[in-house]
Amino acid sequence: MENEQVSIAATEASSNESVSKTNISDSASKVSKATYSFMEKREKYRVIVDDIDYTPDNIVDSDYVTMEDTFSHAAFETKVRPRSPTAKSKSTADAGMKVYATTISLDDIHIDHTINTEVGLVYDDVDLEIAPSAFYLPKSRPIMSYPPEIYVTLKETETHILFELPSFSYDKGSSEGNAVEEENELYQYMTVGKGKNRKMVNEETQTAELITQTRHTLATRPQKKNAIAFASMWDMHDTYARLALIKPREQIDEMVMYQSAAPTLLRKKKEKYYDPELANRGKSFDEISSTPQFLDAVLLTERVLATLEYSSAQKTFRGLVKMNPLSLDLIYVYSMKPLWTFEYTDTLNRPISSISFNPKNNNILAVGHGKFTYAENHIGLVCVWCTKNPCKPERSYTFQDPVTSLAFSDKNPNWLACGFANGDVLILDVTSYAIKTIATSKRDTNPCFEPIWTINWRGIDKENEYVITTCQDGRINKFINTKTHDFICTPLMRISTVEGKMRGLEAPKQCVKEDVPITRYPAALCMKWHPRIDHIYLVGTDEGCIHKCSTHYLNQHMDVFRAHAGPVYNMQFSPFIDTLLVSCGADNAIRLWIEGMDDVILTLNCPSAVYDVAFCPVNSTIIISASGNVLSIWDLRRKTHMPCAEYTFSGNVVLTFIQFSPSGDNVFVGDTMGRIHTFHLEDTPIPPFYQRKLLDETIKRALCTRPQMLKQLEKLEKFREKFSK
Amino acid sequence: MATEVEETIKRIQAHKGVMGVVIVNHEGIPIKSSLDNATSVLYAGLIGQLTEKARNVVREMDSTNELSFLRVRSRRHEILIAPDREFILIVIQNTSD
Repeated sequence: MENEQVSIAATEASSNESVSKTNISDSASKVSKATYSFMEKREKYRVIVDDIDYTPDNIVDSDYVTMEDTFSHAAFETKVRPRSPTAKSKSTADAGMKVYATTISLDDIHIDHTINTEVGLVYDDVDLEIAPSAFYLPKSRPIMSYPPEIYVTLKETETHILFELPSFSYDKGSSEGNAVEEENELYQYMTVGKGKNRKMVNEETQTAELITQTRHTLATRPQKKNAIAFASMWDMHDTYARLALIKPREQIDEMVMYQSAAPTLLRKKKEKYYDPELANRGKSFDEISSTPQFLDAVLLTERVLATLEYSSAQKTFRGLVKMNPLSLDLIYVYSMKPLWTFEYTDTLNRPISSISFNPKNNNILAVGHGKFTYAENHIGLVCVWCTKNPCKPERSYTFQDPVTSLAFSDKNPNWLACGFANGDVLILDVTSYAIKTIATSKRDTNPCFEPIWTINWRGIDKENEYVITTCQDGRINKFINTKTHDFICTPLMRISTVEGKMRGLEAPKQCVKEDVPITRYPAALCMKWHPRIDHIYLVGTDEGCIHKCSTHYLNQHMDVFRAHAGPVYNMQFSPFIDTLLVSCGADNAIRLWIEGMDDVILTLNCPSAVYDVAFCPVNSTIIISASGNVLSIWDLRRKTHMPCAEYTFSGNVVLTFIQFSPSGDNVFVGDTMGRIHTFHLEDTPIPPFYQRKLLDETIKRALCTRPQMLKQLEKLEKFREKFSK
Repeated sequence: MATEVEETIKRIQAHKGVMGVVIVNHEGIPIKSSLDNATSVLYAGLIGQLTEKARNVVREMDSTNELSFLRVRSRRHEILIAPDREFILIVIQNTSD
């Protein structure tokens, strides 16, 4: 196609652009003289085929800046000028390679080091705190004049180690020297000595061929910022305070039953966590009010407030007001001076079923509220009172089932064992305001579903102790709290009905038409450990018998005697004579027994069923009893046919609990209205010096009408004396 | 739980001889009070300082010990102070009767 005329003619564009060598500085785009761009040359020529312009466009779009346009050599520029991409279209046309004569002398070239070479890079977040560029050298003014004196200080610099060669020789005789000698010997042996002739095998291997490739990447320089930090004393204090608040989360210790591994390995690591809420606490009343510290503070305050009202009563309670033994107007009337009553709106009309004093601090008592008659429908309540604050219980825990018995532990005085009317046994920790159970009995080991009438702690050895309970179904169980947090119940014994004639009380023979026993197991209402012999305990049943049992015999009792014609509610050993036992029952009688003698020593008659009886710890002949709404004080030394003093309570209450304080002056009485009264015993005879002797004489005097018993008693005493040596 | 504590404060107030109850938080601001604002602020400020001093005394005598309760008895009343890290409980009671 020669017809097509491809005319390449110089465009007119080139005529528009005229740049002279001298006008470099005028151009908007800084194209240096040294660059040569082919495009300008090429654009002069246009490809026209059949009068159609087929000239290909420039690959580089005129809108986009190329490097050549933006580059400027530092040597030829003195200041930074703004960019304008639109100026690119008008590029200086250099119609060919230009040759420049060096009209600039080298002395005039002044490279300005202060120019930022990152020109063109626009930072998005230009911050005043951007660290200065590493290439940015500070401006230094030329020295105009020299100071008169220049001080030159020579200092020793740090030692720079330029070359280090480790030593290959060691002292002969040192351990390394010996090792080296051995190695040398081995080498000699291998190469020159006999080892040269050792059997050798040649092996060949081939290493796999690895193809390697090198890569390069270019990393942008990270931006640096200057920042300041300031730690004041308070910051440090706060940090340490916060660290102290990080406490391990309290989790149930999941000790698994595997015996093979050590317990410490199996325990889960306690997660430490920091409660961010703790940091902002204390701003509002609601937050503060729920903390236990606030409740403790309120408790202390209430105790102090209570002293204002009860201060004189408390002084008498603590024994600060002493009776003068030498005063002339002493009369022995055994008066009970009321001190205060522990009662509170929650506890009113809830019969008290059990009271337990804390062995460590006998100002603290735990009261269990359950039900008194069979048909009542109360929920269980355990209150912990302090004698310093009779207005309100310091702890109160509610339960679904009525509480029937309570006992504080001796080894851990903050543990309270509770027995319920449905057979459950719990151990509570009274240090917490909310119900916190250490252990609960489970149905798979504890078969009882009837009320637990007594609960006791018994120590096995120095650290361990177990809980013993007696139940309505005659079972005597032993509960052990294991490491796996199981409260395992093992049966100790089961009391069974005694048939036939028994020692003890002369009861009329029961008329049985047909010998069909109704209950084979009577309820065990009270239990006491023998004061001298470790393995013997006495159990009183609701048939009126007292069984003497042992922990060695698991199936039957050792001895039994009939104590009352109705249920035996409580029994107590005398603190002065080990063998003297007092028991009280529903047949309106209190009876005294001596171990080893079959017949009753003494009977004291009361107006109604006697629920509780107590010996005075400081005066051997005083007994106090609660029957109906009458509190009677008996002094065996003076008269035994009637009480020395009686105190009648108003209303239709039944007194269910009576106990002396360890000092012997104060009496605590619990009733079915949920109140615990505290009395101070006054006008009593001064405690005798020879307590045992006095009690002995009293008993002997009581037996004076039965000479055979007296002889028996004397024989028994001689026998005991002889064999106790 | 909150109502129980409200009840606690009411019970303290209902006690024989109690003239007022003020609860101060750790910043020294009374957050609950049965007295008027001016008196509460006055008590909070003064008793806060006293508590600090008393706490220092106890700590310096024996560093393992800490202050649990403070009673200031004067001719007309008695001020019971139960301090803690987070709060101070102040009860003013009338002793003469």
